[in-house]
Amino acid sequence: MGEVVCELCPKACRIPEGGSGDCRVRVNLDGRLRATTYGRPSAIHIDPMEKKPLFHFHPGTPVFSIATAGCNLHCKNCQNWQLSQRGGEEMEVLFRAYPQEVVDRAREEGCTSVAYTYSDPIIFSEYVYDTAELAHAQGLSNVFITAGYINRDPLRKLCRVLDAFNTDLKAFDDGFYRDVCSAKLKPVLDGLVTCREEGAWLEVTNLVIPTLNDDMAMIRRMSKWIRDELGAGTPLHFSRFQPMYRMRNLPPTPAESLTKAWQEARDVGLEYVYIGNLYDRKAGSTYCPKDGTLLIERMGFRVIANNLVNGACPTCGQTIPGVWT
Amino acid sequence: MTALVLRHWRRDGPLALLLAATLVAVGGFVSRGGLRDLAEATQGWRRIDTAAVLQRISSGDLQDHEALWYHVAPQAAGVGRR
Amino acid sequence: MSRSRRARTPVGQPDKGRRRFLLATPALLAGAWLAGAARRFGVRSEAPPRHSPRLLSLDQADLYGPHNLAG
Repeated sequence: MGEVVCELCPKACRIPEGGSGDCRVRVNLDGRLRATTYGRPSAIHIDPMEKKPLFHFHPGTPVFSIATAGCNLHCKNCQNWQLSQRGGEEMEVLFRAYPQEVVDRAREEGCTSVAYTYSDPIIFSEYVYDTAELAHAQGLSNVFITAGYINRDPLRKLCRVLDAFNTDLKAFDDGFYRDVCSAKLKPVLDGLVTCREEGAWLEVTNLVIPTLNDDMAMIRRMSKWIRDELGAGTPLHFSRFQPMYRMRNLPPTPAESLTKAWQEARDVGLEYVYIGNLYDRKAGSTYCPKDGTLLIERMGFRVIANNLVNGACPTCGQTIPGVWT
Repeated sequence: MTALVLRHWRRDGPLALLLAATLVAVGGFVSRGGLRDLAEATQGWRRIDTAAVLQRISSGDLQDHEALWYHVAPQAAGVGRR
Repeated sequence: MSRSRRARTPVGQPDKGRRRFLLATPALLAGAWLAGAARRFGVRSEAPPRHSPRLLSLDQADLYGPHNLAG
C-alpha cells in the first residue's frame, strides 16, 4: 500500500503504510488515512468557561470539554503532555463518546457549550466537526482551544461550526516555535487572521516563560500585531508558566513579568488584557475601556459580578466586544 | 601520550583500535538513527506500534474512521516501499 | 604501564589484569550498544502506559472531578 500525505496541518506528514502522522493519531492503514481517536476521547470534564480561558464568551457558564490523545505540536512545557504526547493505543482510558452522545450528555448536564480542548483539537478535526454540527442543531455553542497550527482550508471548514476560539500565540518569534514547539510561527499568525476573517469570536493566550519569551520588546511587537491584525478589542491573556514536562529547569514566571507584559499590551492599545494562573483580581476582571467601569468581576475562574447591560457598559453605553448570551 | 602510544603500540594498539572502532560504530549509529528520528519528528510521520493500533481497532477501543484532508502520495518511479 | 607494575609481572608472563580489561571492555561496550539499539526499535512513547487501555462509556466519566488539565 502507498504513502498518504496529510493536509490538515503545515507539517504535511508523508505517512507510509502502518505509520502515523507526527500527531500520533492519524494513521495510514491500507493506504487510507484514519482518524483513530474519532469518538474516543480520553478526557471529558465540565469546566467553567473562564478556564479555557474565554472571558468574553458566555461568561460564567459551564462548558462540556472533551479531548482525545495526540497533538501536532510537542511543546517542551506542555502541561497536558500525558494526553497530548501519546497515541490512542497508549492511553490508559478511552471513552466511547460518539458525537450525538456528547451533545446529549452536554445538554443533560445543563451545559450551553461544548469545548474541544486539552490536547489540540486540530488533530481530531473530523470528530470536532461532526460533534459541533450536531451541537449547533440542538442549540449549543462550540469553542475551540488550540495552538492554531492548522492549514487554512480545514480551518475555514471548522469555522462554519465553531463559535469561539482561544488560540495560543506562544511567542512572536519563529525560533521559539522551532526550538520549543517543533513548529513555525507564520501558520499560527495566518490562522489567527483566518479566524477573524471568518467572524468567529477570538481570544489569544500567551504563556510567559522566563528567559524564553518574556522579552518585553517581543511582547510589545506581538501586542501591536494583535492590535493591527485582529483588532484592539481582541482579549489577550498572559498566563503564568509552571515548570512542567521537559521544562522543569526554569522557574515559574515572576508576577512582575506578567504585570509588565500586561502593561506593555495596554500601552500599545489593547483594551482587554488579562493575567491568568496568578491571582490578580484587577487583571482578571473586565473594565470599560472608555470610562473604567468594572464590568465583570472575577475571582479566579469564578464570575463574582456581571454588570453588563445588553453587552454594553452600564454607565457610558460603550459596546463591549464579545458574545454575552 | 603520543610518545606512549608509539612506544607501546604493540601492546596498546589492539585496545586503541577496539575503542576507535566502537566509537565509530556508536557515532555512526547515533548520527544515522538520530537524524532519522529528527527527520521523522520534524518532517512528518512516526513509527508506531501498528499491531497495537490494529488490535485496538478490532476490539473497538479505537476507530478506523476515514480522515478528511489527505491525499494518496504519487508513487515515484522505481521507488519501493520505505 | 608503570615501572613498578612492570617489575611485578615477570618477563614473558601474561598480564592477567590487562587481559581481563581487554575482554570486559568490548563486552561492556557491546552490551551498551545493544541496549541502545533495543530502545530504538520500541514504540516512541513519551510515557509508556502501565495498563492496557480501558474502554469506558460516557456515563462513567467523572465530569465534575478535579483534574489538572490546562485549557
